[in-house]
Amino acid sequence: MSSVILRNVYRAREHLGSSLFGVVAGVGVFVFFLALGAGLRGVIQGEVFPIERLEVVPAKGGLSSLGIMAPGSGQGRTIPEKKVRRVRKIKGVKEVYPRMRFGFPAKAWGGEGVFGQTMWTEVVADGIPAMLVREDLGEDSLFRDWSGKDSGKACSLDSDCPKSEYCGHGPRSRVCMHPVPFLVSRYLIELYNGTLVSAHNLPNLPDWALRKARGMRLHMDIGRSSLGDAPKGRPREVQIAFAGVSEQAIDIGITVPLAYVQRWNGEFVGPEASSGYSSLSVVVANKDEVTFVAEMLKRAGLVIRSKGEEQIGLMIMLFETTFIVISILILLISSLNISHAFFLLARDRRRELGIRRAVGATQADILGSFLLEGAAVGIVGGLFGVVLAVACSVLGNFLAASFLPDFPFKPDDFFHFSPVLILVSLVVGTFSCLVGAMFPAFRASREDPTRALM
Amino acid sequence: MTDPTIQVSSLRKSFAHGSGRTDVLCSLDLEVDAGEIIAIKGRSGSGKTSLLNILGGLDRDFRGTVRVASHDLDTMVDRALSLFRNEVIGFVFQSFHLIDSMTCSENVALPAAYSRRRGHSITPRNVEKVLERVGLSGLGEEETRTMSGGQKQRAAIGRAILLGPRVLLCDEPTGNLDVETGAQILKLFQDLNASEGMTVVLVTHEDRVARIAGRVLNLEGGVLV
Ligand SMILES: Nc1ncnc2c1ncn2[C@@H]1O[C@H](COP(=O)(O)OP(=O)(O)OP(=O)(O)O)[C@@H](O)[C@H]1O
Ligand SMILES: [Mg+2]
Repeated sequence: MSSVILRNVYRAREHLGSSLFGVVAGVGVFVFFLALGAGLRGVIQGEVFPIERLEVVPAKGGLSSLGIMAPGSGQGRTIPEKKVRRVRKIKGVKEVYPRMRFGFPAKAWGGEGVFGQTMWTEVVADGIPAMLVREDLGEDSLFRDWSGKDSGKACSLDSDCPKSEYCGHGPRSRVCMHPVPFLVSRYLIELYNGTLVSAHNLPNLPDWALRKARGMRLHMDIGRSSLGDAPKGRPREVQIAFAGVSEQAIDIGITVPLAYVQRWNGEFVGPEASSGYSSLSVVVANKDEVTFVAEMLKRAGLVIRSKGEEQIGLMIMLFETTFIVISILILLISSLNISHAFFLLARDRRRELGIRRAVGATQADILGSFLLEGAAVGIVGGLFGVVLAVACSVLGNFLAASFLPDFPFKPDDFFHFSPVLILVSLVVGTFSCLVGAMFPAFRASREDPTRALM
Repeated sequence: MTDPTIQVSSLRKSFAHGSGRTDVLCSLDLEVDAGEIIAIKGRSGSGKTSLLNILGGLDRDFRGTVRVASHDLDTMVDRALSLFRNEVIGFVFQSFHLIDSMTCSENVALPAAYSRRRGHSITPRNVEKVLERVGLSGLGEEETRTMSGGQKQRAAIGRAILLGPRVLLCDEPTGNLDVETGAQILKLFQDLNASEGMTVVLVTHEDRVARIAGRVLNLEGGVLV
């Protein structure tokens, strides 16, 4: 049966050739751009804005999204420890990272060893419990609260101290202490590699360079910056040490162990600033549970902070919709084409159809044989279309890798061809052919056999 | 006494012609017994082909009653009529009507593709037997368009008898053949009638064809006389 259909299609190749081209083009465009959309969505949801991670802030008086707190502006509302425990108990929540923002101004500088020049920046920073990231970073990680483990030796120069310490400002005099470890996010690294590097002629930071940079020290002023000074406390310089890249680090800024932030907030702002959290990072075990967890968080009086992923998601959807519409237009045109081709086919086979009817073919048999041919054209054209789209994606990836400048989260593969997408595109292609073949097939099946045989 | 295989009464057939209609068959009656061979003669345009198309279930657009092998053709729907053409009727057309893109044996085997009979399917062996029967053994793989007129008519007869029809309807079966080939074809009809008991209706205007028939009828003015 199927060999008969394919033979018929082959016999009719002149008529069907141009229509096949339409199906190939339609399905090709469809798969190509949807795969591109899916690929981009995957990068954005998987790496840029992982959807399993929800950033949660208190309901009212929430912090601005950049979160630089002007000195003396108070803390707004915070999330108490009790609520953190409650959130931990929500079903589907894998881990909760309570975060506390620096409530005081700070600035940092240094980095000659890595950047080749002295960098200077206002500091946006927060703290998270060091225990919670130990597993990711390893037991020997620098990322911990070093207070109490300092040697406390009196000093006047860094060289007076053990190798792992520096000569810092103690409460009364200069003493040896450990630098404050900090983490940065993958996001920040991508942003740096993707934009700053080319704009400011700075060195790229691939993974190996980041590993080498571990332990690198920078200077940080706490309690004062170019924006002003903290209302109280003793502004001073501390050293901070790079402890690695972590998913739990603040997107833009640095993250230090929570204990430091609690102490400093207490010193520079007041005791009320050292309890309660400014936000929570809630990690959901399973993507499917995100909606449920989000709902439970809302019920707990918390607000989920958007980072623009909705807008980007919307843009991707718009982009996908545009190309779905274009591919459907192409398929519509090819459908008309198919229709025309099948009219010609039916005309050419008029006598043959009459003969088939005379020896026992029903109207349904004739209709079915045409529709099967239509489906065969659709599947063959669809397969070619998919192959074409995959080939174009390989070319596209190559061109992007060779000619597009680096940008944050630039993927090696911009496309995601899921089996479902391929199946759907084949179905869509086949459907368009069936729609095209329908009317001529119906007409042919209703043809009066005695006229066809005259 | 068994029922006649073909029973036609008050059959009317007309064609629309622009404004009006022309009557081709007017109140025609016909009875043919099982195993009979009849010949129908008539001028060109007298309606012979029209009558065969109706008897064979190809043309449903008529008035009157037509009963063939216990099937009331005037009340049957497309599906039933198709099955009827497939199982009960063997058609041999005026101009062979083979499908050129298929081989001889594929043409002969064509009705099997539409057979709904369960249990006994048509095998290549069956087709080979039929080819033998109509004198085409060894020519199964022949391209249809390269065959001679006589061979084509034999293939067409092979196709008509493949599923063992009760009634064979032949429209000018020898019209396109030379005398000798025509005689062989007629012999084949006689054999089929004798061995299988097929009822045969021959449309012709040749006397030699009429000679093998038990009855010869004339179609004149829309009725058989
Ligand atoms: N489809 C049709 N539409 C209109 N008129 C038709 C049609 N088919 C046949 N006729 C007319 O009906 C009449 C009978 O035609 P038919 O083919 O039955 O004659 P015939 O006896 O078989 O002739 P011939 O010996 O030439 O084959 C003719 O006048 C023909 O013009
Ligand atoms: Mg005729």
